[in-house]
Order: sequence, then C-alpha cells, then structure tokens
Amino acid sequence: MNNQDPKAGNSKDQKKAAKEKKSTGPEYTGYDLDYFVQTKDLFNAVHKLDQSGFFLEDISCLDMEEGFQMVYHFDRFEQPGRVGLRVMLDRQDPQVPSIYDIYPGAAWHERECFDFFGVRFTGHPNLIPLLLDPDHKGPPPLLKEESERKGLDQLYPDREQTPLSPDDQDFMRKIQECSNLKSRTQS
Amino acid sequence: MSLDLRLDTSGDFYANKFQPTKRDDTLILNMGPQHPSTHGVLRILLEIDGEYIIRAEPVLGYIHRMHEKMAEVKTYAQYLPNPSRTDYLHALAWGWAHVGALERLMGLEVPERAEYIRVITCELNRISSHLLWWGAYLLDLGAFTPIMYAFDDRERIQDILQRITGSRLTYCYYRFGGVSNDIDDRFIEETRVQCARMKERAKMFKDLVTDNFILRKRVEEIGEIPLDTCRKYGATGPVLRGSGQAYDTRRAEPYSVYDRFDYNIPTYDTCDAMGRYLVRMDEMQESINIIEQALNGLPEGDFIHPKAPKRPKPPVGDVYFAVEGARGKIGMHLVSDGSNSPYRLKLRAPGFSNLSLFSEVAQGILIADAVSILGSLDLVIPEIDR
Repeated sequence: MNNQDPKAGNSKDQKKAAKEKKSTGPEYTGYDLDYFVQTKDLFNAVHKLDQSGFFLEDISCLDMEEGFQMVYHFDRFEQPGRVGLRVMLDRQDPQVPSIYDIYPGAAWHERECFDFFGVRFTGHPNLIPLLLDPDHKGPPPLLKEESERKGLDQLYPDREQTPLSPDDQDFMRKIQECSNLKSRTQS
Repeated sequence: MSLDLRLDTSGDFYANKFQPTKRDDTLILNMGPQHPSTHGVLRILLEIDGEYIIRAEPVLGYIHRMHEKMAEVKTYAQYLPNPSRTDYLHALAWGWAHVGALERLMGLEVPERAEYIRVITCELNRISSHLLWWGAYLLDLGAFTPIMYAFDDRERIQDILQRITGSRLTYCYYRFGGVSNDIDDRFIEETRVQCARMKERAKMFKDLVTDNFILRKRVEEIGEIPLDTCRKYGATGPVLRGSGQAYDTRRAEPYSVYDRFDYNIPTYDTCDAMGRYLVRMDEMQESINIIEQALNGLPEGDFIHPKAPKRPKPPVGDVYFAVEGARGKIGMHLVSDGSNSPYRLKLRAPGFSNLSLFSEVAQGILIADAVSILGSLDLVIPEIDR
C-alpha cells in the first residue's frame, strides 16, 4: 500500500507532461489536419478531399451536450496523412447529407451510425439497420445518459472550434500539402 | 427526437427490402448465414439469372456484440482482452491498436525490447493468420489437402506463442507500456527454427498449389477490383496491394520500430483474386524476414516500462492510432474525458471496408466465382460485425 502513493504522484506528473506535449501536434493525436466544418459545407469539403486522392477510413460519431459530433477520417495512399472532418449536429433533428455519391464505401459506415446513434443521412440510398437487429426496440445503444454527456469545452479544451469553409484558399492548399512526414521525423 | 425506427419487420426484413426487382425471370437466393464458404455467419442475398449474379447484398450483424459499447462501460484495463475477440485470426494486431491508442494519448514510453517483442509476436501471428486463410481459401475452391499442410505449420507457431502469451488464439499479451511476459532463449531458438522451416515450405507450397493449373483457372482474372474502386470503398491490406498500390500502414504511418527493418511491400497489379493470393504468399516471407531481423537486433532491457500504469487514467484528448493487420488497416479512434474508461472508442475494421465493395464487384459474375472472390477478400466475420 505504501508503494501506491508515490506511483500515483508519478502518473499525475506524467499526465501533466502529456497534456503539455499534446498541443504540439500530429504525433500525439494521429491527425495531420483536423477541422470543424458546417453541415452545409460537408459535401463540398469531402468532394475536395476526393479530388486530392483521399480515401475514406471510417465515420465515427460522438454523443455530446451540444448534440452529435460526426467525425470523418480520411487518409491518402500516396503521401499519407490523416484528415479529420468534424460536423456538429442538432440533437432534436440529427440530419447530415450522405456522402455516398462521392464515396460509395460510406454507405455502410453511415448505416452503422444510424444504428448506433439514430443519425439520419439525407440522400442515402438504403438507410436500414446494418449491424443491429431490425426488431431492436428502444433507443440507439450508444446514446449517453444526459448526466454523462460532456461538452465541447470539456473534451476539446484548447482547440479551434470555429467551422472552416472548404472554399477557403487555405483549405485546398493545406489538404494538398497534408502529409505525416513531419510527425514521422519528430517521433 | 423520435427514437423509434418505425420499421416494418414482419417476415424476412432484409429479403423484403431486397426483393423489388425490375425483372420477373430472376431468382432471389440466400447464400448463408450457414454457407461454408462465408466463413462464419455472413449472409449474402443474391439475385440470379441462371448461374449469373445480377445483384448481391451482404447482410451483416449475425455475430454483432457491440464492442464499442463494452469499451464505454469497462475500464481501459478491463477492455484489454476485447480487441482480440474481434479479429481472432490476427488478435495481436488488434490488441496493439488498443494499447497503442492509449499510449499515444498518455504519451507513454514503451521500452525498446518490448517494441521488438511486439514486432516479433505480431508478425508470427500474421503468418499464422495468412496460413489459415490459405488453407481455408483452397478448401473453398475444392482442394482439401493444403489445409493439412497449413495447419501443420500453424500449430507450430501457436505452440511457440502459447508458451509466451498463455493462449493459442485470442491472445491478450500487450499491456500499456510493454508486454505481459518476457521472451526467453527457447522462444528465440524455436522461432528461428520455424522461420527456417517456413522458407523451405514456401517452395513446396508453390509447387503444390500456386503453380497448379486448376487453381489458376479458378483465381486468374476473377474478381477484378480496379484501384479506384479500392479507394472509393476504403479497401486496404492485401486487397489494395493486389490492385497494385504499395500502401502498408507499417511503412506509410510507421509505428513502433518498423522503420528500422528492411522489407518489401509485395504488390501485384493484376487486380484479380490471384493478385491478392500472391500478395499474401509473399507477405509471409516478408514477415519471416522482419522476424529474423528483429531477433538479430533484439536489445536487452525491460519488457514493460517500470512505471507503466496498471489502471490508466489518461488525460482529456482525441487520438487516432492505426496498425497494419493481416486484413488491412486497423484503426482506433479514442476520445477520452479524463476518466478511467473511454468516452468513445471507434474501431475501424479493415474487413468491413473490404467487404463493402463486394456488391459492386459481384455484378455479372458466376456464383462459383463469388465464392472465389469472397475467399480472396479474407473475411473474418466477428471483425466485420464487431
């Protein structure tokens, strides 16, 4: 029992150190670019990623105080680098345009989000349960209790949360230059 | 928000959804969920005209266990055995993705010896996974003998891993900051013997099976997946490399000590089932190559960081960590709220993306070829359903 106290102290120091390091970049998060975009801009942004040769890794979703946060992960074969696109959705009416027309592989990922969170994808050709039983009764399984939900400020305390416009000149240049080479040489 | 999905689930839900068709001279056929060639419980709805497939739609979820919810209700340490239950054939890579995501989030250091041990065991596991795929795929195509040879070698690898990890299939060997058990001289000796043996066996495999005329008829120019289809569906691993793209997470997004080894990424640009077959056969040899280099360079030291947390409580953060599994890119998206269990853990299963392109590829092919294509995708259903 005596050993535990100094250990706890150490892990606290480690945590602090990790927290300070975290802000320094991709080698600690795995993201080379990570943006919030508005729901109406999502299709446009994904279209630009498609033109730059990215493939869709997966589509993830989080239940938060502000609503649902959709996270789209993209990576590239030539010149690898991970891009995350985040969209905030309203809890009362969680709707987001489907990106099936650009990436047909998104169809299953979107059906999975529909299963687990009840998010509706407008324009999806076949939005029916994929992994859950069609007879499943009750709320989607990954919804959190209201008391357990965390807000954006709690989960992402020190990062830019203002949505970026994909029509920005900067956006196109950055995704074209996106590469994990820098983080590779550092780590 | 209405939580009720309001679906009409009377009768066979998926068959009813699939039913509407433009033609009246076709037949709807269920392949699976008990069909032997679907390796588990995958069901595929087919609309067929004679022997030809017009439409195909995989139906998933028969072995869905909601691993992502389990992650949220268990602590990080309690979740350790779970990832290896998703893809039971390459269990160590999934375990690695889990501990790797947390190590990245907490900034934990892993001792060099532990990194080398991880590389050796993970590559051994990759060989055993490819061996089982090889035997089972040929079984699908009607060749019974090769699976006996495959299991002979696979048993030896499992014996080696069992002494160190304590299990034969669903390993739970990696810990936050290292591995649970050090390797010893006997392990090193046995691994070297097995590597030498596998090199000899590769020649026999080639003579017996790969060069076989009957096999070539079944796999050559069957199931061509163009590179752009791979990109649109997010296919990775041997499926992508069989379409000519040299993309491997070990090289593209180097983790651990993989950048210290000299190895090739086998690719074939035939895009067919034979390309994917040959990629896996070559990959086994590359894995042996990596193992031998790692054994030669194995440093002394700790097998787990002395201050590694047993019950980790990471800081608030959002990380993504990817490793190369036998079937492709395994990804873990971990969001932490600072408590001792994840706020959200999303698992990216490579087989999920690889299977999703089947509907497109299956149009207009023979049913017998569909079996060949499904086998060449190397499906592990528990991984796809999670």
